[in-house]
Amino acid sequence: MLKKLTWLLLSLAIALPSEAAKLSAKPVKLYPGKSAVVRVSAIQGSPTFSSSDPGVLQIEQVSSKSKSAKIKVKGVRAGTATLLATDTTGTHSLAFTVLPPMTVSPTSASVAVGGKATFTISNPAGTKIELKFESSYIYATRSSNTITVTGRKVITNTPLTIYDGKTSVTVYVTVTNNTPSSGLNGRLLASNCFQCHGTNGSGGFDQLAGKSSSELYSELKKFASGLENSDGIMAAHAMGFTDAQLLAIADYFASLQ
Amino acid sequence: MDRRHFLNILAASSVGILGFPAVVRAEDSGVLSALYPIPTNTGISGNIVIVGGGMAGGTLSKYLRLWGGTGVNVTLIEKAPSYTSNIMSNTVITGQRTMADLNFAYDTLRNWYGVNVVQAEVLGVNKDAKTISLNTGATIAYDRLVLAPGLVFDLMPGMTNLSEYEMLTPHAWKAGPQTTLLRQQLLELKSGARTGDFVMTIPKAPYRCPPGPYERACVIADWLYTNGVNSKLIVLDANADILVEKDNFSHAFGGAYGYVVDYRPNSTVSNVNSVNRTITYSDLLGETTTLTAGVLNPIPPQRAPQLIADTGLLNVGSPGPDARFAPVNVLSYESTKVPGIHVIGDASHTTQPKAGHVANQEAKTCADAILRLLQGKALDTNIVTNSACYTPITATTATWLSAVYQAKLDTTTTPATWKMTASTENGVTQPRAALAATAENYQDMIKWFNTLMRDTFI
Repeated sequence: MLKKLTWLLLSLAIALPSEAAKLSAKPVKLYPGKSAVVRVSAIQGSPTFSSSDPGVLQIEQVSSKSKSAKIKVKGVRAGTATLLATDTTGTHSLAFTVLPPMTVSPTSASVAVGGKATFTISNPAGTKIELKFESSYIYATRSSNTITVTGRKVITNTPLTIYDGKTSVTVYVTVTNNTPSSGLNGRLLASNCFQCHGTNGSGGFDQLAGKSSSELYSELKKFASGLENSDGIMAAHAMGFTDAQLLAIADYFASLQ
Repeated sequence: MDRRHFLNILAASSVGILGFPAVVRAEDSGVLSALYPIPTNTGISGNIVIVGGGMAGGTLSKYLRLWGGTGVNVTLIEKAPSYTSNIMSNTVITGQRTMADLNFAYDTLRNWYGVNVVQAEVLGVNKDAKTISLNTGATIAYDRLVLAPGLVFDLMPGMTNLSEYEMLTPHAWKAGPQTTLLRQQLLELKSGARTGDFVMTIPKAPYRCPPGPYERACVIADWLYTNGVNSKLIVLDANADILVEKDNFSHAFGGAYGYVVDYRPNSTVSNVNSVNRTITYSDLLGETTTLTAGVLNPIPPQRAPQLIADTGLLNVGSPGPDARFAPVNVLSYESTKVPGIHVIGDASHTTQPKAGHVANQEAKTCADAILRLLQGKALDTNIVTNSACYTPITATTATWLSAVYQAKLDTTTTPATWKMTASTENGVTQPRAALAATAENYQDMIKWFNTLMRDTFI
């Protein structure tokens, strides 16, 4: 009796049982843009291979031996498709599901220094997620499917990349230095700092005069939000000011020699 | 006056070839770099007379010139030749500092900032003529008058003369000879020349420096403990509880640092005998106790000086502290009773504490407002002040207390009035305090004190 054609999954983006029996019972999951290699055994005669929907699952490469072949397929877009192998014994099929990709929305955001923005992850595969970002410009944390980004330093389009183990999505964050609401009296507000930082910020505790506005504002916002030494005396002070007041203070010191 | 001229004046007053003036030598280059030129082209002009050269008056005279320029004539009337700091004066009582360390001259205000510093006492204010008369016989005209005279001390019940504070039972709540006297009496407890407990009193709020009495209790109890003096420290507080930094002070009073403070709240003093050093008080239940002290240190109730009353700046007839201090518009510190006269520092009645650090900020707010008024501009309403202080708890550790105030329009009064309101920004309640007394805070305290005094007088 002839041995029936069998499928064997050699490699795939996501882990799955490799036994042929189970493979036929359950669709193989694949991400768009990711490939899988399937070995076909016990081929009788000269086979042909095709995809039931090349728009979803595309055959990239076939390498045949006498009774077996390796077929590399690639997920194109989310959907279901069947890989078909026809030999003298008939047509055999292996079902694929191409998953919708992980998405993050929105694709970009703009925050003030010290301000916060959130991104939402949609990730049907539910695999482990990691974040990568340039920490001097932004600070990002994830809780479940929500990413919270805090602006730290002025920058245009700093990338924030979200990995789910196999795929990645990059969104972009712009950190702005909001201009103070007009009319705030930076000099008088900043004079609250002189008792400890010296007249005009000339020093005592840290010298403030002549530092950049974004550096001062970023530092003040870290204190005000409790991100830095939240029990310290600088936090106690910064927490008492409005955002616009902190910015006016930072701008004033930056304007001094 | 340009910088070269200033240096020449200082150099001429010093001795020797390398005779840099003391102010430069003491602070190295830090002082010179902190001196900023007085602008000449602000277009602002006026005659401002300030009475009182303390934390408020000193700061105001400096910033009126620094921000207002050479067109703003500033006269500072002060009866003392130099300022003696109340801040840190508790550490003179314990011998960690000397009175000289608390002394701040008016030389920089006079020579660099061009403030006309006049050593004299004010006899009276002529509100109609806009003049003040001095005990020197001089009469000085003003466009705006700022009173920063600090406060004065009431007699304790049973006392008949203020000289009892100077001779027998010093309050030492204004640094000076009484500070030295209290130090002397403390040393006598150690030598055995006098025996008994150290008993101090705290008046009902408001009084100068809210954490100050608790700080004094701590550092003196610590001194008694470390010097092996077998005297208790007893605090008779007219208030119902520790008013500020309750966690830190109760921790210390309870023995966390070795010493113990016998703290008795709700103590109403009915009699002080300064000769016998006895004090009688009653508690919440009306039970009366008389103590005989080794050292008796009553911190009396306080009020604005007579000049404030004589000038008609008090809310006469009002209940509570309103009657003792001068109500002001906190956007400018202009009196709500007499236009053209401002009151800053401890003599004013606001929601802010009576303390040097915040008095410095009140003065800056007042300076900015006066410069606006001289130009016919509207007052700034986006006003913030801060009160901060470090407090020694032992000879080597300290805590801190800090509060930020935002100007808010209180519409519950008629007419609506601006009030400095403890900030609630960022969802945070003010004031805030250090979590614990630490050695690092002690070092920060010294830096704070030096910088604060420099911002005020240098």
